[in-house]
Amino acid sequence: MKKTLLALAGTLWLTNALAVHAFPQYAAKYPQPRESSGRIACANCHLKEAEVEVELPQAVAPGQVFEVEVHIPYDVKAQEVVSFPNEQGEYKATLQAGAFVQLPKGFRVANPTEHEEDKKLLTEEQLKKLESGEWPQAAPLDTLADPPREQVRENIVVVGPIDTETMTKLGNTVVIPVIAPDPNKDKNLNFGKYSVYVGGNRGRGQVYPDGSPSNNAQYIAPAAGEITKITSNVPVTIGEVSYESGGALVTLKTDKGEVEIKIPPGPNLTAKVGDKVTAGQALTTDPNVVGGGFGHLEKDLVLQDPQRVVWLLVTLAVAFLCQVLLVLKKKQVEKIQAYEAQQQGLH
Amino acid sequence: MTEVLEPIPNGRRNFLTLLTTGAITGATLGALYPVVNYFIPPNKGGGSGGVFARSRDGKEILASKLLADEPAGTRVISQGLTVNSGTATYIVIDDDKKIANFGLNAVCPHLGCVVPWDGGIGKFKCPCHGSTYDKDGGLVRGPSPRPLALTKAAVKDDKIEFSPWTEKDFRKTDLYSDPNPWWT
Repeated sequence: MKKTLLALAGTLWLTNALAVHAFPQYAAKYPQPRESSGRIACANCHLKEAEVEVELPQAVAPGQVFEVEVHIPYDVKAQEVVSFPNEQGEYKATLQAGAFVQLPKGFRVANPTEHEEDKKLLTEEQLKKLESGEWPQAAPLDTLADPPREQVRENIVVVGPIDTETMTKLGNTVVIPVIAPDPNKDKNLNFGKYSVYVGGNRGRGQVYPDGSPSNNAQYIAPAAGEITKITSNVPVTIGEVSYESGGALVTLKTDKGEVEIKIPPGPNLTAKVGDKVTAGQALTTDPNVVGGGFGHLEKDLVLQDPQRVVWLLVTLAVAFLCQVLLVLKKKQVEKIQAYEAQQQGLH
Repeated sequence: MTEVLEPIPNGRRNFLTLLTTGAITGATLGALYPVVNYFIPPNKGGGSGGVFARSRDGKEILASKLLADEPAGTRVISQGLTVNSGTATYIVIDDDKKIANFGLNAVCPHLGCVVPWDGGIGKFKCPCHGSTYDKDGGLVRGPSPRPLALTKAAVKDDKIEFSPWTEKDFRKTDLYSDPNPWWT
């Protein structure tokens, strides 16, 4: 019974994996999705670097709902290599995007379907955008973990995968409504300046969680030798993904015998029969050229105490008043000096 | 320059001086307020919450292990609540081998030495000036003017929790018999 369930879960996972092209949930396998070096785990498999921009307020008040806008620029009409053929039999489809945001401790995503009280905090416009799906719902990364994590870190958030249609409508920008915590109610939190770590990706990755390469990667020769045979347009299985057709088998004759290299459909074969190759030499083109890639960014966010601002304004007002009074006093002294000079006949 | 200037009376001069110095004094006091507050140490923990008894090296003391290791009728020193500006607190193991519902603050009310327990005579005896307290911390001999301070003790999940003593002082000796706790 347990085995059947496990097998069923495996199949579900695989079907799911085939149906979508960008996987924030893969990052949920990492206990610490942002490494100590500051690198976000997405970059372990999305090997190409690409631009990402973020807009968020400079400072927020406790309990305030604010928007983090992650801008992931790319050509939404571009097509990349995918793991299953489309209606024309080509392994091509448009890019999908996803975003990763690590907020400071205590911050969380506004989610009116999960938290009833969020309905009151969000403006009507924000609610409408969330309910109509115009803003793709962001979720804490840990809720996607399999097996589920005991404690969900609400401040580590992912969105996606987001399809081309939605991304076109959004103008390449993912909006995440975030609720700021109140340090007056939670003893473990403090006002201050904190970092927000953002990652944005578009396009398929190069490595699957099992370690096998995807067909959106360049294939290289594992050893030096001569290519003796190429069988093209055959079904190929690499790791857990099977490609129905269009794959190639390249036979490489090395010093230690013959090696068969599986090349999935997607990357174009550049090697020919009779080629002498060195270890690490490219056998195919790099298909990941359509602008796919992952980008990092770090931003500051101030959790501001409104009382502090009030007292700052009071201080500034008092300082201004002091300046004015000092100048007035000086004017008065000048008048006295002018009078005394006149009395002494100096004018 | 034939304009004739008027003298400004002293009253008006002093009034403007007063206003200006007043405003500057206000601003200076305002700037000093947070500085003064900064130097006052933050209130640790705060509230009336209890703390768990810790050993010399800061580990929480387990009641079951303590009772297994120590004989009946002894007093075991631990880190507890800050009373009388010290945390050293005796856990009282009574004659039935149970942890008593009160702990004794070990800081001598005379000049603040930590008072050791003398199991042989069943008394606390201060090595500094010889103040002596009975097995419940009641004052037996001076120069100390008051008995040892009490804290509430309770066993919670095998840990010993100290909380502030708010009830009457139950100890009465010839030298001191005020039922109102002196340390609150």
